[in-house]
Amino acid sequence: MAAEHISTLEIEDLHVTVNDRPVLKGIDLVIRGGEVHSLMGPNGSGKTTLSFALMGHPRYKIEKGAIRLDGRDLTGLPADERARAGLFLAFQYPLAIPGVTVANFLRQAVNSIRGEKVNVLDFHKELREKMAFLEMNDAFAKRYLNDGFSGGEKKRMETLQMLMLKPRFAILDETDSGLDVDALKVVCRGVNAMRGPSFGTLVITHYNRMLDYIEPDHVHVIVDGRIVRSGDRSLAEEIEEKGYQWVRELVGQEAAQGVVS
Amino acid sequence: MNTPATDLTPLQGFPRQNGAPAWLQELRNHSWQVAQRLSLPGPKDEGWRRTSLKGLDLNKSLEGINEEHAGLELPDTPLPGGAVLTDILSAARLHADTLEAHLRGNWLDSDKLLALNGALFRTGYFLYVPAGVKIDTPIRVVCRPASNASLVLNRSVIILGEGASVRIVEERPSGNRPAGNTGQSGDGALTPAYVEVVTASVGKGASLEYASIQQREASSLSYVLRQAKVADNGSVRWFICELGARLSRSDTAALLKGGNASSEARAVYLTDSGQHFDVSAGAVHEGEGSRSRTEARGAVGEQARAVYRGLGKILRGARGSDASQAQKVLLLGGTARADNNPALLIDERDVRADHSSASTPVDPEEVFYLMSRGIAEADARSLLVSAFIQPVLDGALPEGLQEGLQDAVSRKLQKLLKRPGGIDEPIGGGAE
Ligand SMILES: Nc1ncnc2c1ncn2[C@@H]1O[C@H](COP(=O)(O)OP(=O)(O)OP(=O)(O)O)[C@@H](O)[C@H]1O
Ligand SMILES: [Mg+2]
Repeated sequence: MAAEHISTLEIEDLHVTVNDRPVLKGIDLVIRGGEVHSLMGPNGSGKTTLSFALMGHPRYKIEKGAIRLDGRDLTGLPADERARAGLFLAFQYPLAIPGVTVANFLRQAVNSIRGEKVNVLDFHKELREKMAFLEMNDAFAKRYLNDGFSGGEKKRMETLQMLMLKPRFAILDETDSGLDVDALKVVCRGVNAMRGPSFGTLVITHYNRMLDYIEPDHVHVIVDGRIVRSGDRSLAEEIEEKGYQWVRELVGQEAAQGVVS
Repeated sequence: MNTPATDLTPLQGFPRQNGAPAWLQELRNHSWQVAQRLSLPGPKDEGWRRTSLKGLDLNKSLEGINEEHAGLELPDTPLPGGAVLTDILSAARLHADTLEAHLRGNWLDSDKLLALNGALFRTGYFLYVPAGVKIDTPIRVVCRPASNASLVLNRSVIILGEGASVRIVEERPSGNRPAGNTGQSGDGALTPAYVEVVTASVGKGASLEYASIQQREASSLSYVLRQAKVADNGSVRWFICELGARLSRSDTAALLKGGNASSEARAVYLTDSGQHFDVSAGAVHEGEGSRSRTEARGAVGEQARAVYRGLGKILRGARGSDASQAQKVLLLGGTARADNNPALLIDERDVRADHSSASTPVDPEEVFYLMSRGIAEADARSLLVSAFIQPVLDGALPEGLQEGLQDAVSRKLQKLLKRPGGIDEPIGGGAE
């Protein structure tokens, strides 16, 4: 068998404004297939802005820079084309859509992503299997999407969508927030099931506990729209111990010493 | 209104006898006078502020009044337990006492068109379900007028005795027009004109389920007035779906006369470019502990206008009653226009009443959420609009008819969203 192709997601000097206000001020990040990157940062530092900008939310305007997937520039593409190119975003706050059942929604999404009509029976079989894997009750398939779901159930639903759509790169925006220990394990099991040379992920989190289950290869810290530190797992632990003030001070000292302009 | 009406040419021989009994002729004569006296309702009349009948040429319409019995399709299977379903003029002869008592108490001629209906109606059905009789099989009535009618006047009556129950579905399709006459008219004339009145009397503990699907031709006026009087512990459930006509006026009211009487109304209206809908639904509470729930959902396209008039009146003495109204409209474009006028009038202290009303565009965040799953923008919008309507459609019609309703709604939505092909995925609750 030929070696599997390793995909690359490149984020280059990304500047993003929201309502004309600069939020991301030059983000550089390269994620390769097989890698897990973790992004941490204080509230309001721009993590969700980065995920929306990557996915193509029209309100998050890319003023400068580029997003490339295997060299293809995604910057001007609408969200659905980015999804079809292989990007996935698990929302920090998934929306409820009463009137659309989970099964019908997912079938339409899977058809769009795969570019062909999947056999209905095959689809339902796969859906049931993945739901069982995530310890979700079958009844969820017939419920309206996220309608009346608990916070934890919504996060599971995001994970289920990822498993069904099989993206090449997934951005998980605080998918661990609000989960109990068991649910956290289940969600991480979902992410780990995707791991492999053809899947890269950016895990946005405030807590180390998710990283206990999903071992990150790289950890980045974002403060005020810039990645100010990158390192390995130990960086996450250091942050948990010392807080973001520590990073801010470090950055401040370096700036004073001219290390960071 | 004191303005003398001048626009109705006295018609030779109207109102015609039709072999009608004297009591009916007397009611008709009265309405004929009213029709002559009144002007067409207009912006100065309460309840007509936002809807104009400009384009309606009554004299011209009267020349082409529909033939007797034309187009009214009633099921021919006999009903159980002595229940009766027949056309209204036959009932005037065969069930004269019952019909007379009902019509005298439910004669509606407060505006010119209603009065004309009273004076001249030709078609309609009479449904009578005696006390204790429960009809399980839904009854489907189709009013498909003759191809050349320019005025269709229907008057229908539903009477349910104590503890009786029935489910009825009224279809209002477009007329069978001869080839070349599509019902479109370039000159802005509202034709044909449908003026229809349905009154129901729901006895103690009786239950009426009623549905109407209006898909009249694109040039027409559809004016339908429904009113049910509900006795102690009786209930009425309405489902009203407005899709067709150029001008649709649709009024649905439950008069909750008895203690613990209840009503539920669900209304769906999809208003497309060039259409003007004026929809009202709700209840008047007279009985103690009476309950009403009204839920309306609309979608309004470019160059379209929808007016919604809520109705929630709690009269003195209706202690412990509960009225709830919810109304939501999706605006599909910058020139879509919706007016919501909730009308909550409460004349009793010990009651519960709430209402909510909203007109919004399709939520861009929801569109983005669906697009992030690979669904193209147009499909995402279409999915969201269908989803918005679906909860009000769920279970609206008996099995066997529901699918046709879903298809009609989905076709209309594709038109509203300007999508020629239509999406092929079924959407919504019951589809899996
Ligand atoms: N739609 C928006 N409208 C206005 N301001 C916004 C919008 N989205 C983001 N912002 C602003 O951009 C900044 C970054 O917000 P973002 O949501 O990206 O933060 P975050 O790092 O994800 O925070 P959290 O950890 O709380 O989720 C904040 O100051 C926020 O108020
Ligand atoms: Mg966030």
